[in-house]
Amino acid sequence: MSMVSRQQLSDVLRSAVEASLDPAMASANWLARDIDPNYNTAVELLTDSAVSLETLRKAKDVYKTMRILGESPADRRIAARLYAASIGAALVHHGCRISRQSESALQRGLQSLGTDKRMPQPIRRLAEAALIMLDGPS
Amino acid sequence: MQLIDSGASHTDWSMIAQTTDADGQVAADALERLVRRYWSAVYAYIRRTGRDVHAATDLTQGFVCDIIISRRLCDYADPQRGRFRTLLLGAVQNYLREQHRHDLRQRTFGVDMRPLPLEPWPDQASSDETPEQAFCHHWSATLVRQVLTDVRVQCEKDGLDAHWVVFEHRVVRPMLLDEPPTAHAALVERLHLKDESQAANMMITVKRRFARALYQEIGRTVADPSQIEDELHELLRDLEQTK
Repeated sequence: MSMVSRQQLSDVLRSAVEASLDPAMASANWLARDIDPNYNTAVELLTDSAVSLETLRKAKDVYKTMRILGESPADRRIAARLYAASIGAALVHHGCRISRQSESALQRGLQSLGTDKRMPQPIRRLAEAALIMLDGPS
Repeated sequence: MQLIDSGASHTDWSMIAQTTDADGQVAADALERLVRRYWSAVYAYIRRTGRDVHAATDLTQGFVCDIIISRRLCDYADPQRGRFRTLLLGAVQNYLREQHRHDLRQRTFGVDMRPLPLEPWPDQASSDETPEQAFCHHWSATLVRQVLTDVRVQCEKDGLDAHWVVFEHRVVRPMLLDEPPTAHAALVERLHLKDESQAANMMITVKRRFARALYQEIGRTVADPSQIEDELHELLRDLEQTK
């Protein structure tokens, strides 16, 4: 068995610090890293214009599951927001709908996300951009 | 494959206090647990001062016998005066200076009084670390392994065996064995899970338990829970420090 590297140990300890500060967002970030280790946070993954559609589909699926299986109400709330954000990101970055939700349900989800001050600003802006895409050219 | 050593976890300060217990058996057990817990860090420090595997093993054994046991190092440990690992590191440094002077005297008289080497300790010393970094590195690794053991046992008790398997294949094995993480699809098939998202969320459940348990474990090494954050940041600073 090889010795755990200093970098690996540092990552482990940083994860513990991250979880102590905001457990729900930490879990969301870990899921983002699990999908693609090139992304450090859920915000980075969802707001990157170069993110692939496949990655966004995976993000949508994991946050949808976390919305149900999340340990605490805070986990489930964050997961619901990031679920909507994943759908919004596919609309904004790829012009593609990756959800079978009705137009009105999608709009409600994105509107709630856009006005939720507890969510990071780049995610709220993403929701606003997605809403514009959803409304189509005026 | 057993990835993690098993071993009871105790509050370090209570373990240190027990080493002076009137009941000889209690004291001996506590001393043994303490030595097991800190052995790897002490050995790594000595190895990185330039000693070869055999010399480092001998010196680690000598330090345990002469300083921890004979000179009763634990009698000088006081939570009000700082961390035990700081006391231990200072004691190792003094011991090595003392041994160096002793070796010089031996060479002067031409008699080698060093004990015969016993079992060699695995050579885990990384070539680019200072002795202090090696000590911190091995101490942190000891903590992480202990926490992994505790979390695995707790997962088994709570019926989260499948959760542990996912965590082990996605996080632990890549970390300890340098293996690539097992694909989610393979875990879904092996564990009969609904889909890959479920596997990812199972991993998160254990990872969160692990983070909490790590806090608790670090809490055992400090005198007061308010010092956990400080200790964690100090370990991080030492680990991330470049030579």
